[in-house]
Amino acid sequence: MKVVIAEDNPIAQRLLARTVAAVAGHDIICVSDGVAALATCEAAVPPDVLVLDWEMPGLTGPEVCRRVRALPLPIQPYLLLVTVRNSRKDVLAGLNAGADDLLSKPIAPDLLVARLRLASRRPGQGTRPAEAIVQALREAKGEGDGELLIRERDVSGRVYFWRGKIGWAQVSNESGSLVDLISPVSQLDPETVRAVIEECQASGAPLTDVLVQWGVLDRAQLRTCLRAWIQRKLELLRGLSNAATLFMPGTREGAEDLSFELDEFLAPDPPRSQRLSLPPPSATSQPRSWSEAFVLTEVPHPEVTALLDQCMPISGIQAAALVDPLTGICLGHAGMDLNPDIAWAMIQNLSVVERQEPTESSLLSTAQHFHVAFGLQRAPRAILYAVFDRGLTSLASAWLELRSKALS
Amino acid sequence: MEELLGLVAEEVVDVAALDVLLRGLGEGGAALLVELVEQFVSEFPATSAALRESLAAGAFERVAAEAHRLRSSTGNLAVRAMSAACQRVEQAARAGDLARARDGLSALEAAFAVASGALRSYAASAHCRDCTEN
Repeated sequence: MKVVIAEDNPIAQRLLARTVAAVAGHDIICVSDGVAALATCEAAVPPDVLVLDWEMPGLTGPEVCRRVRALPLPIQPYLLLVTVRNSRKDVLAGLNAGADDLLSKPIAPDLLVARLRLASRRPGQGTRPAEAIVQALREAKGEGDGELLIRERDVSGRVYFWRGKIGWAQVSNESGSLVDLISPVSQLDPETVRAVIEECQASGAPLTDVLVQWGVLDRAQLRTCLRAWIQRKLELLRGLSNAATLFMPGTREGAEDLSFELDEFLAPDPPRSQRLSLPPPSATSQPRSWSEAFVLTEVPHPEVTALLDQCMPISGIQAAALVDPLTGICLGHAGMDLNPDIAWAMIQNLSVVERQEPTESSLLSTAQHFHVAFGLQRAPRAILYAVFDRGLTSLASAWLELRSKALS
Repeated sequence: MEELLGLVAEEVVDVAALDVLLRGLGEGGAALLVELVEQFVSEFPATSAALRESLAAGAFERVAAEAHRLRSSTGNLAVRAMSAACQRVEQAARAGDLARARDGLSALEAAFAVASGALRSYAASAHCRDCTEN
């Protein structure tokens, strides 16, 4: 899970971060005020959990709760207020502000860990919505025959599986017609449409059989049409942000040549050579977010995730990312949002090949942060870039610790 | 661990709570505790001076906020007497009671004088024990 710790007291912040880091599998972002905490929820990938101090500069913990709850997020994060206030009145005020729970300070590590476990069991936590639909489709495929029901508010979809392949898909709010279905290869006049439908209703024969028998389409053309139809429906369903899914096993008719492997519809990443490379800061006049500047890998490679997981417990680290400078692809990112323009400068500095002396690392000190970048020994094209809080570490310590990860 | 601290220190620092904290921090927790204690001890004189300055200027809101913030550290490091003093300062500042806030600040500084040594002893002992065991 992505966990944001918002605490203005550096000692308390480090203790909280350490406790959360002791539980494997969490990306931790530490911020020192309520405004920064709220900003993390407006990022491309909002956090799963926010641990909020009650009294912070900028916005108080309860105010952050209220504002987060008002955001149109696909999945609302778990909000945990930590406070020295423990009166009944305060607890009620915190819960009424939208917090899921309150913990009294000083925080008992085991209680915090228990709350994180609770948060991780909430529906949808730890997976992004589109991934959740894909995961449900994959599980349905493994079931063999049946239909996957997908529902979000008044939109419902059905994806029919036959022998683990997709035979049909539909979405309730999509005005799909026979004309739409066959439009990729043929045009139908209204009279033929009406006749085909009447025949289906009268004989009970599948639409596909009638279309072929009547010579409207051959099976190869029908396959093309079906594929385009299913592709469109699945794209719509994958766009649902917070859908519930249910697989209903059942036997249905199907045909090998008119059913499709799920992976046919889950487009792989385009080849790297087709990706745009990262434009320099001067190419854009508007401030950019990290996700606007870098092409984000949707599902990071496990080795990338493992490397970032190794980096995030480094003392004072606020964020780390692995970037391919030639393509502008961010292979993985953990921690707070990064400034893409500083990152670009750091990365480009390492990427310049016409250099007399090879450069091992880039270092930069800003008012609040140390920025450190290394080329990876095991993957020469990838650059590991990390940002450290100046108040929590020294530049030498940050450099040494990150170097050990980059060269390992 | 308790025998390492004197009777007076025991009244200032909640050793049992520190033990719980240390266990919760897991492997390497003692080293972190040493760092945090050093950070706390080294930063307190400046914090205390800032509190006195704010009090002298009648900036009660700033005093209350800073006392509250400090209470977070003292609470986490289980320095009970300092937490109680912070609370007194915070409440007095919110009430605009200068005399009571000054008393609370004096109590805070007195508690720190004892707590700093006790915390350092505790953290150092815990760290030594970690080093020996590993």
